[in-house]
Amino acid sequence: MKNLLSKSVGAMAICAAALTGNAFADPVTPERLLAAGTEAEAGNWLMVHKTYDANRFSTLSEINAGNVADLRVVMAAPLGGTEPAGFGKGSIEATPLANDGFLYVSDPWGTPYKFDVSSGERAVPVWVCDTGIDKDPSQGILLANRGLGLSGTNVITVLPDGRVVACDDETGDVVWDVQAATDPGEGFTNAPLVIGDKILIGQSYGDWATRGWIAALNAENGEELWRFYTIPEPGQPGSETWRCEEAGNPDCWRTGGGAAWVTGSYDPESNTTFWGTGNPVPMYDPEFRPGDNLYTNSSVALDVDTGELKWHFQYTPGDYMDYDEVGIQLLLDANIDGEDRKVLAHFGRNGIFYTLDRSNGSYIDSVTYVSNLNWTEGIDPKTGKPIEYDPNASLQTYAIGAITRAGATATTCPNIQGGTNFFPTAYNPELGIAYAVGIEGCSDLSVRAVDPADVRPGEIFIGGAGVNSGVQTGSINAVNVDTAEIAASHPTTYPMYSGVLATADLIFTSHIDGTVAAYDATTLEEKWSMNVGTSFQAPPITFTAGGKQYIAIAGGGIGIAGFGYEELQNIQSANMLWVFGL
Amino acid sequence: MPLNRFVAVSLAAALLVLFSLAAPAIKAQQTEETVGDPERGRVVYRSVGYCVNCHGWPADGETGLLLQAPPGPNLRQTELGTEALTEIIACGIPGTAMPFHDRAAYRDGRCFGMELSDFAPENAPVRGKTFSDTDVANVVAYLQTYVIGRGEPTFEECAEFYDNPSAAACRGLE
Repeated sequence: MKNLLSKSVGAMAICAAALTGNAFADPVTPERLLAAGTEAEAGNWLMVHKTYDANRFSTLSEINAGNVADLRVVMAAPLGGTEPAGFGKGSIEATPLANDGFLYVSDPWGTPYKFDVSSGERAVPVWVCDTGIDKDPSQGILLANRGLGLSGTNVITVLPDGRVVACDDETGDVVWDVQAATDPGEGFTNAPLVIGDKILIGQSYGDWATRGWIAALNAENGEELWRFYTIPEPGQPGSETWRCEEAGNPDCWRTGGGAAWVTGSYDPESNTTFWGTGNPVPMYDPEFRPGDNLYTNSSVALDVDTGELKWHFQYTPGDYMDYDEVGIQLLLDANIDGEDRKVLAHFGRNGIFYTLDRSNGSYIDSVTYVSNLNWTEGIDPKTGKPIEYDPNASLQTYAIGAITRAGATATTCPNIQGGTNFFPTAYNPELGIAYAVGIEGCSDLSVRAVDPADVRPGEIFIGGAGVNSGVQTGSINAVNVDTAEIAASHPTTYPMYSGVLATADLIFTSHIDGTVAAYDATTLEEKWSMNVGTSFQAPPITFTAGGKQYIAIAGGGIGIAGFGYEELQNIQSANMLWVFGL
Repeated sequence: MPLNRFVAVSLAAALLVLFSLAAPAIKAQQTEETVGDPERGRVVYRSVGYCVNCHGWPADGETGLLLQAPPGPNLRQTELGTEALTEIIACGIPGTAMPFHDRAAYRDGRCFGMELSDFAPENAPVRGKTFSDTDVANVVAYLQTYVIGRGEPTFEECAEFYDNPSAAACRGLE
């Protein structure tokens, strides 16, 4: 009888498998991740930035400038995660991943979902991985999650409560679960970066009274292998840039910020990973933390095996304008002044596009990409620093003047949210053009001093205010990397919060009012758009299933991105996965 | 005709002065004038109006969560009385981030005899979550019973506020 029962159950399982298709995707080996940009993987999107160089460039060309006007929604599926945290409902900021006809996406609480889209007709939910997250409405965080990692047969998610969880790709069951972040207020919002046998993660809460770090975990079990603190402790190199004693506040470095809340990139040739770091904390009160505040607002290059710092480049020292530089670290080869260079290119939140030599972090060139920038008169062509920068000063005074506890205020352009921000940028290596979307406008800055004794570890700590100054709009910008010149610019009605997918002759992006659109890769002329209603604060990807090319993107509520537009305030948090096809 | 910025700002300032003059210094645990339910008021403050976003859970003007506006004022030290608190919660303070919560505010003249169309867009009162008249009174009762006149926030107060001793917001207070 028992035998009969087990045979029946087995037969039912086989039938179920036949009906639903194979729930297996090929394991995502280290070799496949290294080959993510090759023809063999062209139909997949195996890591958050598609490839280790973070170019978000796809060679798929079935959808192109000649036929993109026919693009339409072909599949859609609801996501969860609309429960609020302390700042309200979370934003959908995740880049979907694609592997062999399956899509993987995370909701604002970091919960992973797997969908079978191989039919091209329906996004079938395969599983939702239950991480056991406590959706505590008192937790004072900006709730967001920017994507997942694929590691062998595991799907990796990082959570706002500081855990990292591996879910089984076939079943969605939890394989391992580690409390990687343990200090008050620490947690994660970015996507993990899987490199070989390691998973790289970055502490993400950088407007809170925390100290930023990047760490590598053992991909097998989540055990921590190394950790690099973005804020050095006293005695370490860089600690001299935290003149905490001058503020009568010797521990100011302990809550110095420098969060790494956007996933870095990786150069296999030099075994180096490149991450952007966030603003110093408190962001508007430099008198709390005098000095340049290394390694905030920087690109940092780390050895993947040891976490050792190879070099750093700080964009806005002693910042008081919230110009953190966590945004994408594009790795590319360029020919600059007749010389082939290995470049790290970065659209700064401060409104300036930079190129650095990625072998040593030395400055190459820059160009302002926003239409209105007033915080600096320009960049020193030798050092790459703002020309107002005084390396001997405890408190920097940029072109807009200082903001002070004594009451001095200032208006800075671009908006404190950038320029660009966490919104992924992209690079088309065939055209040599880098792309960014972002905000056009300014912010009014003021200081509000907090006594060090009143700082609560892990709590929000901004030391003042930065509020929108007048109307904020947006733009799409294209930069010729070789010449550091603006190739094209496209103003948008609303600030942009999404990100860019580049293909041979198009870029795809999306808008906070619910519009998904494609633009000519050279001129940025709009070639197609469609409004589906959900606000977009996440970037699109492209992939193939059953031999056909699709565009996928996740959308949801307006969150904090309404920018005062009355007509956007009522967009509800209906989190959705959208798939477009011809 | 829309009011210009000067008039609107002046109005807001005048209202604040009016409130502070008209309101006797009513202190904490005041009960005689309290007609609302302070327990229900706590729920409205926390989960209906999301007052926490600007004022912080202890209403201390330090722990607000909204990045787009300065923290709301410290209500633990306010000298506003029942009438002024009621009017501010119902009508907001035009020209500031303090929103109105009365369902008919600026529609029938109940708020300062004004309508939304009287304001220039940049000085228009901000719309908050809608409270019933009873819930406006309940929030006032909550503030007067549990907030005004209290000293530094405590863990016990936080756990009671969130009805959860494990609430993340309370961790730093243990």
